[in-house]
Amino acid sequence: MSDFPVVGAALTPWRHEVLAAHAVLWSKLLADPNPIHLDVEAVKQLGVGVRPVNQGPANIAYVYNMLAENLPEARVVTLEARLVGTIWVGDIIEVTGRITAVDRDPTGIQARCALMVRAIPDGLPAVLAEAELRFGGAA
Amino acid sequence: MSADDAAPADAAVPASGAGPRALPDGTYSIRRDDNDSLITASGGRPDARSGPHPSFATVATLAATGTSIEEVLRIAGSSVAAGPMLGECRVVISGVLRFDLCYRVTREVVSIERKQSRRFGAMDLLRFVARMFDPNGAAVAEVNYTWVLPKRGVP
Repeated sequence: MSDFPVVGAALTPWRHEVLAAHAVLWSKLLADPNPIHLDVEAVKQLGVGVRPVNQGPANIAYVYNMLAENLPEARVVTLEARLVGTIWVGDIIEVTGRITAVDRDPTGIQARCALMVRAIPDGLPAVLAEAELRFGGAA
Repeated sequence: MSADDAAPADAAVPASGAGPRALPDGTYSIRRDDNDSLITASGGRPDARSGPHPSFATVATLAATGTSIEEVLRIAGSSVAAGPMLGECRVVISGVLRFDLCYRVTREVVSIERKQSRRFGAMDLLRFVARMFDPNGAAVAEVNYTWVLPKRGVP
């Protein structure tokens, strides 16, 4: 993917394997004691699945990582995410997306992207996101 | 699940104590070792950024001192044992995140609204806004969260 954004251009998909050790790190970072991220029995007791549930902020971080890989010169100013499904520990996730708008002004270039996170090969969407990025200019 | 999974808005009823409520301010410093952990946990490339990962806007606004996630859930009449889920999130980073600055974090419960979910039955939607300010008082980030709080056993 070129650093120069073009409307309609697909971004290169980004993949990541979600490990139990990652969920432990996220729980520590977020000071989040929710057992559904760490304890299979807690997940089963709540009737929400048979594997620990990945943290929502982790699912959002994948979007940032995908954008950083595709558009390293850009800064993500706004990220709006709807968490419409679940990513489980053990999933391999894929972030896909495309550029939906590009605007140029004297301060630089702004672009918008539509993005999706899902487990592969056949997972339903877990995150639907829109990002506004800025190329150049001050923060 | 998403907040959109809920039934139409006209099915909403206010939960008790649902008005806006400011929470005690907190602080958060982005440490380099925490950044390393976040990059490992999210599969990011260590050399991809010179500064902190942008996800520290969410980490800082949730993990800052002042009010814990558990306390916010308690205020909303829920708990981690109920299986709360993040439904929506809008992150605006208006400044530059930096290591080792002591950011002030303000947080406010915006609303708590009872809904009926087609999948989960009764639930509360907790809307919560958190803001980060640098030591000079300049706004750095704002995050609007909508949390889904299942109300199992509530008709």
